[in-house]
Amino acid sequence: MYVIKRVRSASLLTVSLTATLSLLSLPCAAHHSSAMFDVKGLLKLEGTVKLFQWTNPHCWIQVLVPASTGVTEWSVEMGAPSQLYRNGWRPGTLMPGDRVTLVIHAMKNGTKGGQFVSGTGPSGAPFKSGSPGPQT
Amino acid sequence: MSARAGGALALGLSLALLGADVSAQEHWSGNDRNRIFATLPNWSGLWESKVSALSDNLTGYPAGSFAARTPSDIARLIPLLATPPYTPEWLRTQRAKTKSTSSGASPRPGKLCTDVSFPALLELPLMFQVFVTPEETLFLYENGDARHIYTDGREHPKKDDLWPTKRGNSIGHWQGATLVIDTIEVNSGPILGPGTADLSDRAHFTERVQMLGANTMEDDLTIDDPPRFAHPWHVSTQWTRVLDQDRMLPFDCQNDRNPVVNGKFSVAPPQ
Repeated sequence: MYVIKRVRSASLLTVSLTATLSLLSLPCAAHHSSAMFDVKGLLKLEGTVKLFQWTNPHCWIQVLVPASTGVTEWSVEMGAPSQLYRNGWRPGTLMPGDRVTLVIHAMKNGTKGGQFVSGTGPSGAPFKSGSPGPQT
Repeated sequence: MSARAGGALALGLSLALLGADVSAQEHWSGNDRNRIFATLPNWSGLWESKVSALSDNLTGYPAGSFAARTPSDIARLIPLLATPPYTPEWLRTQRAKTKSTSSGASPRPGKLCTDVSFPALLELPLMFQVFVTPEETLFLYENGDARHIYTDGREHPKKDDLWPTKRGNSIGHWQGATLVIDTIEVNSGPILGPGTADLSDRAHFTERVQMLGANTMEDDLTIDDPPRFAHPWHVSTQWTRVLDQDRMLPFDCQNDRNPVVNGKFSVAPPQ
């Protein structure tokens, strides 16, 4: 089964990536630009969790994905623990062996990694997304 | 009158009205200190930048960030990413430097776990608390970074006792319920990474911090940097109260997997 799927191209207009634009997503968990990710494309990974890192500056899901060439390991970057915590996540939310489906912005340079966009957990239910939003 | 002199005067006037003995770094007696304390606003609780409040918790990115198409879109999301009013001379120098610099910087390990500079602290998604006392207002961030704003009339240290640091040296005074902060000696360089507003170590920062409502605080920042800017640069940023947490979470930053390779962030395998 080939379970790495390029889902669709995001309908973003082509932009001239000035230095400033390339730093657009800097506030990801306080940390870095998203220039390394293909933010116009979405890639779907279906596999099993090898490791869930509940760490700063980012949480990471290491996921093993069967492919035509054998099993490949992907590194999927998420927000910081303090951000995931506010969505109900905890260090034990994902365990080794859990089956997950993850949609990511993949690395542009071909490295097997990317930025988490959405996903479903072992129960098949989608991970709840969202933001606290400004308080009024 | 300079901001510093104005601040000292304002503090002196407020203390004189309270009948307190006025001198720099005064250790007030219990009753005087209590009376001064009672005049100060209560900014307790947890706070975060508006950018942080608008970020998706699982991705860590602000909603709409990938759809932003123009510099003004970006500046609306993150005011410190606006383009400052550089002098024509500075822009010419930078263009020449860019042309003469070869591409492909050497790899370096990640540095995302180091402490954060001012004024980047104002907008990065770190929760923080604000402790207001007669002697100082302390901004304490979840990663352990702190800003000490001394409000007891003391001046900045003498020139020989100052050197540029990530958060500089700050003093402040109260104008009613507004805290006016004066900051100098901040490390030079880009505020939020390569390509963002680039400051000299002569930059002088003035902030006016006040509540806009029960759950919103505003920081009006003016950066005066004559070596770089044609005129002072004004940036307004907002913070919002965190209502879904009752305390800071432990923050232990030891897993930076984003080294810079060929001048770009990358992803490293787990240790």
